[in-house]
Amino acid sequence: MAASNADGTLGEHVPRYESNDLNSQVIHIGSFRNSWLETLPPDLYSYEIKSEEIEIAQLAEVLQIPTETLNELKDICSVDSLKSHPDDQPVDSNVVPPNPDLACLRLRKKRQDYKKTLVRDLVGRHDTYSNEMESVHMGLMPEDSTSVVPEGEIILSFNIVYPILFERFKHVRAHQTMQVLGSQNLTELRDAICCVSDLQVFGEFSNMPDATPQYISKDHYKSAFFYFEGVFYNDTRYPECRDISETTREWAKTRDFPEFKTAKMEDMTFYDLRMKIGYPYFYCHQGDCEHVMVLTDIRLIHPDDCRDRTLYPLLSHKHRVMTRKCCVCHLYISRWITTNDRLAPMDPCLFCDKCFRMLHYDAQGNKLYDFQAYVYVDPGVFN
Amino acid sequence: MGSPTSVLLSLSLKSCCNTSSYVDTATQTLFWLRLFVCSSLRVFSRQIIMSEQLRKFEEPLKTDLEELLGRFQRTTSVRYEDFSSMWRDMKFGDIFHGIQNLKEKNAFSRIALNTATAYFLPPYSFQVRVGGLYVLYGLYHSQCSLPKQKIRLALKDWGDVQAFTQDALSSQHYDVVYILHKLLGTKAFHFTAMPVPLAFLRDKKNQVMPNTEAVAKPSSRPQQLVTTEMLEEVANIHQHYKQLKASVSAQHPEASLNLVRHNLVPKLFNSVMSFSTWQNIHTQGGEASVQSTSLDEPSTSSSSNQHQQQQECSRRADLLASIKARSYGQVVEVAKSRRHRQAELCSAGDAGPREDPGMGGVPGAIPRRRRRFHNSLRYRTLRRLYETGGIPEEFLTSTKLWRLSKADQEETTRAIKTRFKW
Repeated sequence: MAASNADGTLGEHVPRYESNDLNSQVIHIGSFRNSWLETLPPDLYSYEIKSEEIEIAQLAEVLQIPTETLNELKDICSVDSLKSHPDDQPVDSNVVPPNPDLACLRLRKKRQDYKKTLVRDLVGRHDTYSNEMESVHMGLMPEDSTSVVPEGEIILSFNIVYPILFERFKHVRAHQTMQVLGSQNLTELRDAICCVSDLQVFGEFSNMPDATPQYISKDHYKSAFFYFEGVFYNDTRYPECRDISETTREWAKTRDFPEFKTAKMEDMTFYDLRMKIGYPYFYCHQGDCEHVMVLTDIRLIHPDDCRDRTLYPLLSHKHRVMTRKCCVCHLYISRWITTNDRLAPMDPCLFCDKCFRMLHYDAQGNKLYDFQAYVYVDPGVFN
Repeated sequence: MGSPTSVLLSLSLKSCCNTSSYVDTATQTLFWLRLFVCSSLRVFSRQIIMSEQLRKFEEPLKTDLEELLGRFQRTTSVRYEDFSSMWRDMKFGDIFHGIQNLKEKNAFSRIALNTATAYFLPPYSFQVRVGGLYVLYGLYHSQCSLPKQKIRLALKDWGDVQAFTQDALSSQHYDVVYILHKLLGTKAFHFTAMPVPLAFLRDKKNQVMPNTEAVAKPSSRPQQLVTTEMLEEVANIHQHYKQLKASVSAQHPEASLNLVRHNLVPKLFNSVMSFSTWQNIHTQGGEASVQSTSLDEPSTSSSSNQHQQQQECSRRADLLASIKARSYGQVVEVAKSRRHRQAELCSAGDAGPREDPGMGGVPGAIPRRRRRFHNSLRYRTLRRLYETGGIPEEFLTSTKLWRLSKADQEETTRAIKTRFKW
């Protein structure tokens, strides 16, 4: 197998670049996993890390040299041989060493010296914990052994781009990154994607601001679809779900497009999919809330990854957005949006809960004048 | 996939709304939602800066790695001892030092490992690949990130790695095999589909693409087409054709039969020649000497070309100077009403844009484009008044609002804000 790979006749399921450094060819994800598992010896992707003695003994067998020679080799090649500073003089790794020779360090030093000249270097509290999301699940083991992710499982990383992209923000691509297991259903990813348009509450509430809304739009409109490689995967788990891709497909029929297929989202696992890595695909829910999705990476699971199956899909990156503050106090995040409001500075206008009630209602909770009020869910609630 | 469908999908919203009473408010709220999401997508600039910053480190990383591997290559050995002494000598492990933020540390380690992986894989020679493997080993164990970032190995490269191991085994480079086994044993690899995560960053890729235009060979299609053999062939055919014509219309020669020019071959040859001379002139400097023609060039060597080019340029400069001299050489008499603003005569050289002394006034050298800053009319008038002694010097600078509350003698230094140049 390895030999056949080496002489250039790569298998069908070995992903290669379609356009350079941009995206891969279409691959079948399940077959891709199988071809890794076929080529790799099982101990390379297993969770257990072998003890040193066993490893030395095995290696001596492979190399066909006596163990003493190998021990000698081990001393030569030890990690300590890389240390440029003796153990008794530890250096602070947070400081760029003085007079560096390496180009990287020179650049970094230049940058840091520049930063020192700035009056104010922004240190946000967000930056302190920015790594939290990646490291919190590191090597996590489940409590019961039934939900351990099996060895040789694959992890797919999806970038799910926030729905609205403008020319202005094109260079940023505000997105969230999800890690999914190959054996999971598409519906599990669909349920894990958080988007504010799922949380909207419909209706006018100016007469009864205390009434707690019972339903959010996620409960009303359950239809959604993924679009991967010419196939619309519809969510049909509930009786009220509709095929909202129908309009698009019918439109495409009249426009000389190739025939699009449909499939059920809940029947498919990621192993069954055929996709390109790094190619933009599509997720649509709430009728017209559209997210571009990019499958950025597929890899075998590693001992350092989260091994609790129940925690997947795992959110590993989330883009922060500015929250819109109340227009009265400029302090709290807005919860209400009003129209036809003669006391408001603009139309529509945003208010936090407290300011909204103080401005629009008297002490008994009676409405003071005529206006319309709607619930506002800030996109920054996920920050 | 994006835009044409999106229009229709927004139409299909209505079809998916089962309860009609909600339709109006639903669309209304969604509209506002869109409106506010637009403006609230003002992102934290720090996030962008970080990724931008790290991309700037790719180049110096390559420089450093090539320096290390170049030194290793010069030893003509694949022993690990040689490598590790060099590593220590260069203090290469310090490359990870000086980053405070953990996220940045991780990202830098990822970039470093990705860059180094390229040297471990084929087109490089066996020795460089061994060096690449040692570099990976070194980088992996000296990174300060948590968890230790992994080396990405794509499925298509796994075969190469195995072949590499076989090579090392058969030539008994035990240290190479040992290090590879150790890396695999400590689970330092991620077995992935592609060498790097791909996020369809088309725009960024285009920016990074180097400009190859300067290095590209000048096009030589006409020269390839019109070769000496081809010319001979055409000459033969032309000869034959003429004979045929002569035989047909010997009795009554007709003007309508003269469809082809008599001097077809020399004309063709001349036009190709003039094209290639033109091309040589237009390609800059010494590259003009690269002769991509298959024709035998009659003594149009590069030096004569350059000379010609210089001549042409200086001719143009002379022409410009003479035009200026003529137009600025005479002063127009101004009207009586404007006699307090008499025009003055200055030489053409002063009036024109001054040439950079660094360019040495070489004719034909492209002057550095610099934005010319014009003082305002007010300032120029004040300056002139000051020079004639009409006003004191302090009139030249305007009084800032904040100076109203400060004494004249008090000097405040203005903070100069400069941007960082990568």
